[in-house]
Amino acid sequence: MVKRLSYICEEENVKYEDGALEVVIETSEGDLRRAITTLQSAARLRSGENIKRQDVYEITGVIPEKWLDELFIVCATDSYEKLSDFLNSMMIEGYSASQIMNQIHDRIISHDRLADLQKAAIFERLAICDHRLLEGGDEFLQVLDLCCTIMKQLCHST
Amino acid sequence: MSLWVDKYRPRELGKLDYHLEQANQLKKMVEYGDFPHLLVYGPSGAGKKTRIMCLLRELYGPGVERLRIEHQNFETPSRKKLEIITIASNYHLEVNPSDVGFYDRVVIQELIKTVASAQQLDTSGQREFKVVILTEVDKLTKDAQHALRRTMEKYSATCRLILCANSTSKVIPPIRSRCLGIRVAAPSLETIAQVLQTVCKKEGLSLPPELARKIGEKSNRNLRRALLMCEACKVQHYPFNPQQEVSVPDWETFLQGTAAKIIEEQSPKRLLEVRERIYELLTHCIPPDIIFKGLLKELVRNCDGELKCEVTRLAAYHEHRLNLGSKAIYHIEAFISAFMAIYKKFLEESMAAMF
Repeated sequence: MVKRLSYICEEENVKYEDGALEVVIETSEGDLRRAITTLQSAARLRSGENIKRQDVYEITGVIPEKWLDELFIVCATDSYEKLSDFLNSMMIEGYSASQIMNQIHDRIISHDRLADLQKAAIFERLAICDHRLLEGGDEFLQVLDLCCTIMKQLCHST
Repeated sequence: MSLWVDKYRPRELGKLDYHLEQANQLKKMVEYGDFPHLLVYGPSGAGKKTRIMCLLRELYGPGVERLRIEHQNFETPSRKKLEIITIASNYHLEVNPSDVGFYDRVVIQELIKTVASAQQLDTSGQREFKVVILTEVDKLTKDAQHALRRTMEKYSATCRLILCANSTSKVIPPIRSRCLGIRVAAPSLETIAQVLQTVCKKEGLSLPPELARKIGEKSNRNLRRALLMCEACKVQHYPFNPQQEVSVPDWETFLQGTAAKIIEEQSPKRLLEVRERIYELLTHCIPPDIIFKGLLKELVRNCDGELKCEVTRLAAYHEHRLNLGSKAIYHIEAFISAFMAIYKKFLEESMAAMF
């Protein structure tokens, strides 16, 4: 894929920062059409300048890692108020709930402090919330529900 | 006299107050001549519409501000007549298809077909495409979204779509991948305070910084609401007093009162009283999801850690069912009675633990 994308870039005379193409591929999850569309959008937005890795993240709506780091820290404090406030501010930034859930999923898989059973409990809740979200449930409530489960598993596991 | 919100709305990309880098990028993109379909998303009061109008002005010049309101009629295949209000200038057309509810698909197809099949008359010095703005895309039915995706491809030569949504979660992926997503985050508290200061200065008023900050916090970083609140404060009491109470909307206080009633007593009788209050809220067009969030926020204040999670779970469960069902009151009431049950149990248990 990198080969194909760099070929397009050469033909269209698009310049990009090192690593930008890798980010494009990573965010498009192996979907070539999506990767090319992302690339074109980024080129349009930057028109003539270097495409930066940051631009690609912004276009695809991926949430910066620092938000998720913080989310897990907040979950670990076992304070419902802090969690609710933090999620509210995250939503207000315009990040979508489905994206938040996606990235939480990735994080949980590679989380080293949680036991398999705990992960299973979280994933079950994740699946339920995602389904509800698709059927029109409120974003904030569903993500809050999910994060409460994570908080419980992180702090009250027996 | 126009409201401050409209009076001081920036009209050009260069005059925006925040997200400047993004504005710059948009400007460059427009200068380039052409642009892809856009999907502008962000919370309400963050300035999505303002940015769209600025972008159009950049494209077509001041002509886009001469707006006219039209009523258009459509007929569904089942011969039902629909009427929808559109706002248009010579260059663009703005419509909120979710106004017609279930039949939004018909509106989208017909409307874009008429706009897109008519070529721009005078192409010299003009763009060769028109712009259609669709608002509240996330409220569209799945049917309409699929129809939209086909239309987008078919007429991409003569028409550009700008979609406006609160969140991308409810926009189907094929549409998302065909658009350039533009995220408009809510302005920070500092920015809101700053904007309020500038507006007040232009009005010849002096605004104490403490009050500006308080308004910003109360508005939940919604700039539109902040400006309206600020104007309301001025009407109530001028010169401004830093300790002045910022008035919250009536329904918010009412909702808080309702939550207090639920906490106070848990009995079937009280449930009936609460039911009346919820009806009151619903008849005043307060959306059910706002009621849910408001109630949750107030109710968890009186719970301990474990119970909070449980209440949240209940709220999420019932809110989802509400979206599937047709009558909001059933689900809100189910939530309240479920809450009463677990809350009462919690109280009794803690009483028992004391003795």
